[in-house]
Amino acid sequence: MKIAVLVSPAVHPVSGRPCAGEADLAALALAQRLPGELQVWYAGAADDAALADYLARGAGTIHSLNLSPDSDVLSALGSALQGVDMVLCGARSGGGDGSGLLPYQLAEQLGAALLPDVLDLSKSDRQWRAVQALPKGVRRTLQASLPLVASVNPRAATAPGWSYARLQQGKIRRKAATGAALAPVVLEPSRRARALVAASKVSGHARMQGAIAGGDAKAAGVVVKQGDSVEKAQVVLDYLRQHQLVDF
Amino acid sequence: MDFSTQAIPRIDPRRPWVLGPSGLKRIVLGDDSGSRDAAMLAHGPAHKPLRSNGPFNQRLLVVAHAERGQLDDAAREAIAAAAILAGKDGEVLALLYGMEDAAPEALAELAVDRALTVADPGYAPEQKLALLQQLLQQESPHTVLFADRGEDADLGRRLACRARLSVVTDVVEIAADGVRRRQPGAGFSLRERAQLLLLARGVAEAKLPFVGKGERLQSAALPAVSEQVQDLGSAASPASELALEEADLIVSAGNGVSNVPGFLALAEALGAAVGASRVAVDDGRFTRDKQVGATGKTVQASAYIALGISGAVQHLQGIKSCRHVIAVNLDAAAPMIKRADLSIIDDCQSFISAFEQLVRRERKEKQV
Ligand SMILES: Cc1cc2nc3c(=O)[nH]c(=O)nc-3n(C[C@H](O)[C@H](O)[C@H](O)COP(=O)(O)OP(=O)(O)OC[C@H]3O[C@@H](n4cnc5c(N)ncnc54)[C@H](O)[C@@H]3O)c2cc1C
Repeated sequence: MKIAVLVSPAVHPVSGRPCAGEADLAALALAQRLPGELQVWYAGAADDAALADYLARGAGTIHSLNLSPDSDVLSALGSALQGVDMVLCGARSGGGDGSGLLPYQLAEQLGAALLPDVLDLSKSDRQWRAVQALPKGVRRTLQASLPLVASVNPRAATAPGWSYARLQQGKIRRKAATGAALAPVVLEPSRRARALVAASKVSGHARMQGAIAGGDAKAAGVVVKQGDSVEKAQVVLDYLRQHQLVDF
Repeated sequence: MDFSTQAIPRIDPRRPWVLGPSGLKRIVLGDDSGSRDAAMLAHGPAHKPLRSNGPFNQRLLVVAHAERGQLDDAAREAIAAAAILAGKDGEVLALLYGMEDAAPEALAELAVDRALTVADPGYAPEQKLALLQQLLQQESPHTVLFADRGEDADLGRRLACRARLSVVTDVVEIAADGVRRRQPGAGFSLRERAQLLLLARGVAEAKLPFVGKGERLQSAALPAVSEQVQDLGSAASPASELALEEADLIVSAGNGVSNVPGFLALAEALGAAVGASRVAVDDGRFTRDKQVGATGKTVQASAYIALGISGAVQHLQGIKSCRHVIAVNLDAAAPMIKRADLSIIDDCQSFISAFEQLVRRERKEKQV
């Protein structure tokens, strides 16, 4: 079985320098647990220093598709990954656009099954089972057959620690590639985003009402003072049941 | 001086008034029809005008998944954004999963003009995609909006790739010159407005001064399409194993909780994750990773039970997005009581043991 892991440099949140992305490292560590021939791929314009963290954390050899900074990585990756059985990548890259779109686009292009936000992968018979992380701690088990594309949750697995020896042994194999030009984007300094607000013509009275409790602001909560602890406990349980917050 | 002999021009402060179509109070001079009831304006339910009565010649589509029959703030903001962007001749069409029981008034209040409600089938991306593609063909909306979180984010990305729509994710600002998204490590990036937008939180003010028409299309069934990926079922993992940020039900202890083993027993009985205030953590009663608040964790639980926590602003910051807050405190004037949806004025220790026993008893009865 051929497994490909896609990595790309993230922007360090404090220093702003390129570093390894959490989710991509988790994908790498998860792939190393699976049986099969593992290849690590990168597409884009990053230099060796930006990919060094991945080498130091166990990527071995990185196959890099060299593209100009303003071109789309999808078609280059798509053709390089033809015939790969399983593609793993971080759920969201911490650099580039960080839009989380790539696994979806790749799955569509390769005609592969898509398993988003995966915590674990295991083989059962001839199919693969993935545990998917959903909000609020829910875990969903999905089953699909190869080929598949999985985006990996940053909590899925931990890559080995940073090692200078691994960095020295690691290699980056570069290959020129081409991609469609991306639409130009204008970068702007960060500031507070302006929310869309509906223009409203309301009387001064209504505005004043809105400023105090009125309008559709949240109603004040219920305060329970009467009764002993047992009765009060029942009140809380009734509240939890009424809003379906407990399952008993 | 004799006041009564002078003709003082006086204005009757309770002149009759009528409510205009824009929701403004109108006084027609010399007219004595209308309402004289001042109280009605002050305390009656807010009258909101209709956003637009049509005819519509273009539309926006908003797709949202409801949780327990209710839309969360992110989905409401997406609908609000659509309503604000729609303009006079634009219609807000919504495809809502899991809101079959919603009343037309509730839909109108959300500023939806026309809604297609579908029972949520759980995991069925291919079926949902097929329905969406049908809808795109029938209605040809110029923009499709999703909230960029959870199921909606997933479905939105799938649709963009399947239907080959231009897409911008994590949109934080929609402006006249395009849309802005947050770029990792580089502030904002400005792009052209795409056909499909995935909206981050805070992109629009969910509180709207108007309502939509609230019409409901025939509830549609999902087309029968086979799924590529099979769902083997989902389970909530035990809350005690969960990261606090992920938990759905949290019991949290403050300075008022002295019996920590009893408190932990309650958390276990309830199946809830454990949180704590800073004072309880600093005391060494809980580890640092349990701290909720400005210098601790920000939690998203549906229910947050605060036991013996006064509710300092630094703590309240951490529970801003909790839907239901329940407070137990001896002090009825504590700030936490103002935040809470249900407050119990009681001693924590006796409440905890009573509640734990109740929960264990009820759980057992349910099993039998
Ligand atoms: C820079 C800064 C950052 C901070 N960050 C955080 C943070 O991240 N998280 C955080 O939690 N705090 C934070 N704090 C601390 C915060 O200001 C409060 O001091 C703290 O939250 C108070 O914790 P508490 O409510 O548990 O304790 P207290 O303020 O002591 O309140 C205890 C409450 O329990 C009630 N009580 C007492 N005994 C009983 C009983 N037997 N039964 C029932 N109720 C009882 C009391 O009436 C009182 O309301 C921060 C402070 C600063 C200055």
